[in-house]
Amino acid sequence: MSPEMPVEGTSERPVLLLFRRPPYGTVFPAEGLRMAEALLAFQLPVKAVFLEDGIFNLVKGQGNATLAFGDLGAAFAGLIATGLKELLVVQEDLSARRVKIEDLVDAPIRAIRVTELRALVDEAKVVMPF
Amino acid sequence: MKLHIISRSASSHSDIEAAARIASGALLLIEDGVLSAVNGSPARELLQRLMDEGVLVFALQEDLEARGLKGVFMLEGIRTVDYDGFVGLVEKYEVVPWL
Amino acid sequence: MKIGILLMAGPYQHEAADTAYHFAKAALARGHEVLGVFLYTDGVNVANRCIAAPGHRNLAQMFSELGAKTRVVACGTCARFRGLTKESLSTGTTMGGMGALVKFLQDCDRFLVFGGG
Repeated sequence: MSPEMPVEGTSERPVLLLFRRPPYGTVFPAEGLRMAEALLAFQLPVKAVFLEDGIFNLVKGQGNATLAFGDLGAAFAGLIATGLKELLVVQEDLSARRVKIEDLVDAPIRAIRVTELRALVDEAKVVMPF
Repeated sequence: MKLHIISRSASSHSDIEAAARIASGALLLIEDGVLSAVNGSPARELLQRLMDEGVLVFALQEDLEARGLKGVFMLEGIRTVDYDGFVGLVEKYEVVPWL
Repeated sequence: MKIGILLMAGPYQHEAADTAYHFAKAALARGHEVLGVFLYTDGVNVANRCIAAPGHRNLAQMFSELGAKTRVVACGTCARFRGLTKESLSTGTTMGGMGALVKFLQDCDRFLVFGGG
């Protein structure tokens, strides 16, 4: 066995991406998506949480032909195929906005409470807001 | 325990509320965020509550001075740090930026 | 400590570019290793050599100065979206891919993000 092999069970602390802003009004969620894609391509451990107005990034059926902004919801769902385990949404923020999980794209989406968000932030070495 | 960095004013954005949901450790107000350190800011009760809970609240001195905000305007209990002190805080805590 | 920085705001439009610069300088002054400043989204524009700001602080010059002491890397894709070419880059700054940022993320003890708006 090569001495450079990583020790079994060593876990790298994840990069936590916090999607706080809604899509299209600013470039941030789209750039956060691109960040996620890049980090996953380089096999960094990534976690993505959608909170506050950021939950709107995951609403299904996005798109207007005139504006031609694409569909970020579908794009975020596409991250699962590239190695992201799940998309996390803060339940309190869904409820406050009267959005249900059924309104969101068809993908492994898990609702978490704010207490779990705190744990995710504490666990991460790096936090990037988008 | 992390260093939560706030860069927008509470009068226009709810970043402090967002951070307060999970904050422990310290909060640093920079850029327009220093306006929340003013005694009359809409965030005063929330900042007071955070301080009562043991969260240390700091405001960046250079940003306060650039805006002519001095001691007389400030919410009691908020400490000021300059850029050197900002780095000192980063030595102690990992950072959570609330952009 | 090893510190990585991400800048997501352009010159003058938002204070974040200034904050990133002053923070990086203060960190270096305190003896830390700033692994680099990765310029993302509009942040790439601080590396534009054509910035002229007579009578005012010149952000391109500030980041060139920083580039002599640490790495200032402009995201290539973001640069293309904004029409910033390799030829337009100011001294001390380079164009790079996400691989550069990934290295900062892997090696750093602390990581800061400046930007917004």
